[in-house]
Amino acid sequence: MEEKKIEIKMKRKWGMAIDLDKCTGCGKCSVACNQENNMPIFEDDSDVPKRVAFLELMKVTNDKNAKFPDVKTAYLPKMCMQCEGNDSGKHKADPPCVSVCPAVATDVGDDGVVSQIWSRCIGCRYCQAACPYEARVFNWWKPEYEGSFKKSLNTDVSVASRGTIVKCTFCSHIWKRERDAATAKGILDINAVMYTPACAAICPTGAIVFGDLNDHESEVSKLTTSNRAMRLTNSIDDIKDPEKKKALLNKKQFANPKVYYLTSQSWLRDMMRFKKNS
Amino acid sequence: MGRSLLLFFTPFIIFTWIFFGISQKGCDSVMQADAAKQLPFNHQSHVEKYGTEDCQTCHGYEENGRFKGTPSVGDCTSCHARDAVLNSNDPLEPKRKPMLDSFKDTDRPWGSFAKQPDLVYFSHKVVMTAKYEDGRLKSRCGSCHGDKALSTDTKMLKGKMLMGQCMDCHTALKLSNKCAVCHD
Amino acid sequence: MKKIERKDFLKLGGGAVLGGLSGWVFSGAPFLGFQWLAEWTQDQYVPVKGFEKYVQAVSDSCPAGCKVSVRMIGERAVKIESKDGVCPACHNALQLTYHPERISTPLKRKGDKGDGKFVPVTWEEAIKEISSKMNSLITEGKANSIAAINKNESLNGQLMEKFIKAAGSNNVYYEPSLKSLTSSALGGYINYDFANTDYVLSFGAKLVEGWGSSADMQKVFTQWKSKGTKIVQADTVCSMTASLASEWVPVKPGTEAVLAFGIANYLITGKRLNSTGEEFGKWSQLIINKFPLAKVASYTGVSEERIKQIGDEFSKAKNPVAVSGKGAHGVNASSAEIIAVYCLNTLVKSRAASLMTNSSVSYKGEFAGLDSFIKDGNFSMLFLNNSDPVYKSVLGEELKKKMEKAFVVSINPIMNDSANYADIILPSLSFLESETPENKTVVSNFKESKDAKDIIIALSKSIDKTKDAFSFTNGIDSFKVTGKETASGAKFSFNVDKIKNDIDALDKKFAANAEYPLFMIPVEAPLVGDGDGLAFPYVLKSIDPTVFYKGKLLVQINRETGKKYGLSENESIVIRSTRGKLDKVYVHLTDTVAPDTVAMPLGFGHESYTVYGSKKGVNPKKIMAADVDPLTGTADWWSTRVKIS
Repeated sequence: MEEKKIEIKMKRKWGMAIDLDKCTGCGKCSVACNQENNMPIFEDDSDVPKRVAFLELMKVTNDKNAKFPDVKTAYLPKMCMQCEGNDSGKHKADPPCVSVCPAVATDVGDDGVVSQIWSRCIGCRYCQAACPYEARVFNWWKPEYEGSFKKSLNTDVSVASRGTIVKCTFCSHIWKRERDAATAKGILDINAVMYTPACAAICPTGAIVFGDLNDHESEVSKLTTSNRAMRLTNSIDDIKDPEKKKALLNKKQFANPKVYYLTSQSWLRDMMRFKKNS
Repeated sequence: MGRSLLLFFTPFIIFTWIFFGISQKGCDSVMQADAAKQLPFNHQSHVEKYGTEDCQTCHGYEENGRFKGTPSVGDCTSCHARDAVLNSNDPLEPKRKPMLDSFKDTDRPWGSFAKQPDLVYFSHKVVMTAKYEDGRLKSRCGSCHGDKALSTDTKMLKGKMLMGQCMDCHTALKLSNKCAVCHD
Repeated sequence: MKKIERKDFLKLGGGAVLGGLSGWVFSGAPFLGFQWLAEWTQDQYVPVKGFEKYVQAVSDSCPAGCKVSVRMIGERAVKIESKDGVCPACHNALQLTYHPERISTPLKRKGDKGDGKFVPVTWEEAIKEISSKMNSLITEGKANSIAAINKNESLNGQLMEKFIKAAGSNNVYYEPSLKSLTSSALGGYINYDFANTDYVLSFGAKLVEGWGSSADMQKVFTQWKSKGTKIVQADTVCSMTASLASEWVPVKPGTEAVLAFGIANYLITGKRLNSTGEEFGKWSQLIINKFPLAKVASYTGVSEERIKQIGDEFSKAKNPVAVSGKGAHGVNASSAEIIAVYCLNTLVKSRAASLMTNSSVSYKGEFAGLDSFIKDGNFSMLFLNNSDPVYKSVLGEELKKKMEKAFVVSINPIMNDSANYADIILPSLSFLESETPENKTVVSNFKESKDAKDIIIALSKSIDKTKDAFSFTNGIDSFKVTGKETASGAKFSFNVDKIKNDIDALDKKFAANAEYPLFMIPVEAPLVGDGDGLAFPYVLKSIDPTVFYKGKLLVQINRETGKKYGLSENESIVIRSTRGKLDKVYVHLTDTVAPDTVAMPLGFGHESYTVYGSKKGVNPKKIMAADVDPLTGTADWWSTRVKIS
């Protein structure tokens, strides 16, 4: 029997597109993420900077620049943007967090997902300071799961210890789970394995779309190339002149995230650029 | 000079031996290598007598590709039936094992000593099905577990498997060694 | 033999020490030691492993009957997934199932009511105590002093209604919901055909934030987006619905009903449209005389032209629908408003809104609704079926006082503010533990807790009069008898005589008031809703810092208003209404709320709702308006006149 050549080289580059015009702020993504990733439980989680959650349901408004009733509100599900960085000549293409980690606890995987290995983390929090999106959280306390809450813990995600950084990894354990199942069915090609992270799977309005950015036919790459797409505070996106863009890319490092936000609302676009209302 | 050497090496060798013995005993007990087994098992006889060469006969997979690990007593009684004969002249006929009587079919009276730590997502299925282009398997059970086919007891392998061992294989086979390949 | 000199002794000793060291090193002990040390410092908890499987389940505790797929590891449920959408309560069911404060056995009160001291008793003892009390009430001829408050009209609510009615009492009430309120106001709840509508006019209904059947509404919203349905939202705060709508009509706080009158007025006088509802003539005369467009414009802050424009668009659309019931999980109870908005539907002969009834749910007892029952009713025995009226009703304090004199039985899986005042607490299940005809249970019952359906059936069997109320002995059979939903043929009535006073009172409500110059209106945070979500720690993780931050509950106030009262961000204020005061609230200045409005988050300030839900912020219901609506029997608490200092 002739076997197809088995592909072991990862060709996928996972990315996400979040349609803010479709997001109703229902918060299902947040609960699903917490459940999937064994988020620690605290009696009072209202101290937001110290809150351990991979997905933050950010409420944003333009009330700083607009007066009632010209205001707008939106919810912005914000997780790790899985930055790629750019190759600026002097530096190798690395996300801001990876280049500062002294312990090689965080790295970019073959599929573009920025990993964070808590057991290797020494808790210096350089990466947290370097992250432009505040996507990394520090376990100030030991993650505890009071009494019977332990029973709802997912076995695929290890419980981190105190004093380490954790963050969203696009639920990459689900990919491993899917790959297991595919291998059991005889599918050995790792590029044939697709998956959906918890937040995208539960989203009731289909606002969160996840997929392969390298596959130009995938829904996510079509969305990310649309006019409505933009990335959070990645100023290089605004430069339309290709020459100027190239020059800048050679000179400076950009985060280059793989999470795209889609919106047709100009205030949201401006806000994501930290621009005043135009 | 000779006397000096003798004076030094006699206690050296004696103490090396004593401390080696004590420490290893200590290590074994920490790693529970000597923990009492509820059920003895002879890998060698099963492989030789019954030709169960394929480890998967007992150490199989779930439908979703998860490794079952140690078998359950139900797997034993599927051959050593609970109502089979106790003694028989036919060496190939599986006999009833009275020691299984006190266990339920779902019991797994063996400790697993080769568990990966929780922060590793290790898939036996993926590793065991990986093939070279000419169809040879990239790894065998023995690559990590040692030659269990000749063992006559359920004793574990000495020493822990370290990440380096995984990485060596991955490097040799030109597989990705990125953190997230195994860790989550 | 030479004597062993000091030098030789050192050699011997050195050999021994080095030998010991090398033996220790070669045994691998140091390496194992380091590994152990590393693992010890990590102090890791490893969840119990097991075989992974997915179990399908249908919720029997929410009226929508969410269909979920539960990921299991061995016997543990670890994740709730759903392709069809799931309501927040069902999504949180996993945290309810494994809540550390689940009630494990039947409890009997010890000490005073409200102290929260209970002792475990057996099921037999608990049922015996309830049945002897209930039997004696029935034989004394006081059957009507037995009452029940259901959380919703799910199957166990229907069984409770049947049980109480069989005992000879008419007093079965439901926590106010969109269904119960519209049923009471219109004679049937509204079945919206949102899929085929092309123009949605919403009067403050937070359509995508939990209103109605929240899982279905999310799907409806995506359909609207793809079809380009026009959504017009009248709202006082820039809610998500207002922000996502095609048009937002900002109205002054609490004036949605007046806007509906204005549009109705324009459609009746300007477009000559007629409604088929009973007493339409009388109602239209009242509205036309009392609410000329100029007055509506001044009350609502919406210009006359805008009202006319909305009226034109609404009447010209192919299949328009007007949606009442402002709010998300907590819904406004004004029947005058519900009727006015439904009138708009009948004026344009909307095909997207029709009235339905459910044969086994009445929503009405001796009194028109829950709040009128709390205010005027008397009971000597009260069943609480997973409901929390002490927290949710604006008359919670009065209910507490009445509960102190009565024998109260509470059926719920975790403690809440109302169960704290119960004499007997019977532990019930989360939907993952209860069996439905389609599914076996997902996880086994928590300790001694039982299915609420089984509890109600067991109670009815233990009481002489209700022995034969149910023809079955276990909850699983009860699925056969669930009430049929039918389209109600009856025409709706404007009930002018009953609501006239409320309409008249609007003038007074919106008149300038020097003492209480501001309006307090409720807002709801995602997942927290009107309070049910707060017991679940993963809900706490989603709360935005502009709502609740570092233990402080923030109210939203317009910047201009803030300037007028000299308020600064995060400043502590006291809110006063005629009913009392709220302190320990803090200011968040934002222009997303209308001027002269205090936008107050609902759902906080529980007294005893587990360690996660209790003592966080304040419960604004305590000072909210408590005028009971004559038709819905529920307090119209939506907008309250307040002052701040």
